[in-house]
Amino acid sequence: MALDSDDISRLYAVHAGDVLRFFARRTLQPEVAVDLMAETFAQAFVDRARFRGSEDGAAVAWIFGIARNQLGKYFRRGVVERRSIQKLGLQLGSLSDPDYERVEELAGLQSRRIAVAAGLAELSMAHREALQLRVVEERSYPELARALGITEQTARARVSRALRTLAKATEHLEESPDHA
Amino acid sequence: MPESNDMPTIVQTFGAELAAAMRAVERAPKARNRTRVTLAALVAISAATAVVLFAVLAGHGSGLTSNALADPLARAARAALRQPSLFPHDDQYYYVRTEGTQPVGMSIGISSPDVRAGGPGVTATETIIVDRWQSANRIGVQRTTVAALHFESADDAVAWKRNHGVKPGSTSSFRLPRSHGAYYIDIGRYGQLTRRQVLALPSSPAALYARLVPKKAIARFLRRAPAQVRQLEAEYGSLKHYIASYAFDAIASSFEQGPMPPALRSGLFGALALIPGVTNIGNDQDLAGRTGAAITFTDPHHHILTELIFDPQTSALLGIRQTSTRTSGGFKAGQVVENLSYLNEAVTNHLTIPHTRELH
Repeated sequence: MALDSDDISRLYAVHAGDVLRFFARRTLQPEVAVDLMAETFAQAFVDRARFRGSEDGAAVAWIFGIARNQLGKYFRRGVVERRSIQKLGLQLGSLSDPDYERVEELAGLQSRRIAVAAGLAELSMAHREALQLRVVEERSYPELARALGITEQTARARVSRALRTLAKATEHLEESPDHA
Repeated sequence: MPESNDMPTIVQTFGAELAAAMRAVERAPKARNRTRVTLAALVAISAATAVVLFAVLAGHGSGLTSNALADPLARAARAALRQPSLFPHDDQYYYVRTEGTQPVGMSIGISSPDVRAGGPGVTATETIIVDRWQSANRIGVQRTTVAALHFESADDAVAWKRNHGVKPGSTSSFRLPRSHGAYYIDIGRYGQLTRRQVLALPSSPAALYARLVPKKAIARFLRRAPAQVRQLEAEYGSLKHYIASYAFDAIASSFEQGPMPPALRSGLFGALALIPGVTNIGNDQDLAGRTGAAITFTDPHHHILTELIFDPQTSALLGIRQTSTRTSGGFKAGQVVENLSYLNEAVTNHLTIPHTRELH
């Protein structure tokens, strides 16, 4: 079955949300997820002659194959390709605040935030402070220890315990592999 | 279009624009078909080349070491077998540091209310350093630091700052999800090979090439999808060029991903030599200024020339450079679309920067 623009449009109408969710959950960044989703479908059209299936199910699997490839490239290179988007003469605007929140909602990022917030609330002030300095401000353990007036060993222990608490708070959100 | 009460507006808008762009492409006059190479001729050429090059790589051949393409690739293939394995276990991390440049049209994180109609709001080239820890069964991390920004004009620099574009020195990190035991080697089913399956892949160049270009599947495709074959011929110039592009992309992508067993690395260097259109251009420098052997391949459909720069003494991939060969899609002919250097790599058990083997 050869794909044409109508086929790609139809697949986009039905599956753009799934592909967006796929990227949002893996990158945790709504702008990146939208870029990757757009490039995936643009590439699907540009490379449509490569599709060798004979039914819609195969086409969906093929599109997710492109999506995984795009995700791999993003993780390797740190930026999103837009070659197929540009080849089609398209542009992708920036994400408005409502769209940003909607992508987060679709990806269940809000539930992750709630889980992380719940985990943070369980921590003592001392553990929360250690975590903030280490993870958010990316301080080294010697710096952290000096800032908090504790030994380096104690600093490591506090951060480790805080991370374990957060991991436990979010472990129910880990998912099995997505659509093949 | 996606349900309007579900999808963000940008998704709906893009969908409509994509549909219009696709229809415009389909209505445009088609390129004329070029001469078709029959499948039989393609396989015969590939098989003959495979036999000759396999003999060279196995050290039995003589008089062919002056082969301009085979020599650096053959040396890299032999060198790969002498290197310690950097193929991690499922619960280990493969760590790599890269330095890369990218035109800003492909950058992220910029909110630009000044985007002018018909073009990007600002033009810049970002140099980024990426530290990546990836694992099959553990959550990894990718940390990106903006090392430098280069603007094409002073106006762009002003607009960038006004729109709160990223600054040099800024760092962002995010988690890399575990791949649930899958390795992204593009030989066979992409993204779905387990460690055991990767280790079971053939290591001879001819066998790897046969997996990339399976005769029976191609023959079936030719019989059952003549319309698609015609389209591929129109886009790539010939089916031979399409198959070569496909094979080159698969191997280059697998090298970029990084971790693979030494025998597979060796075989893939050999398989590169079997692909029609792969050219040895002698030595070249990567983004980091290191000199290595360089091979190129041009994708005629996407108008991109890809250059792989590697050290034939150690088989290390030093860098990848991609250049637009035609003015189209926002790129000028000769413009470097991407320039990436691999600086360090290691297998590690922790999310720390290990003592690494500096590449080259």
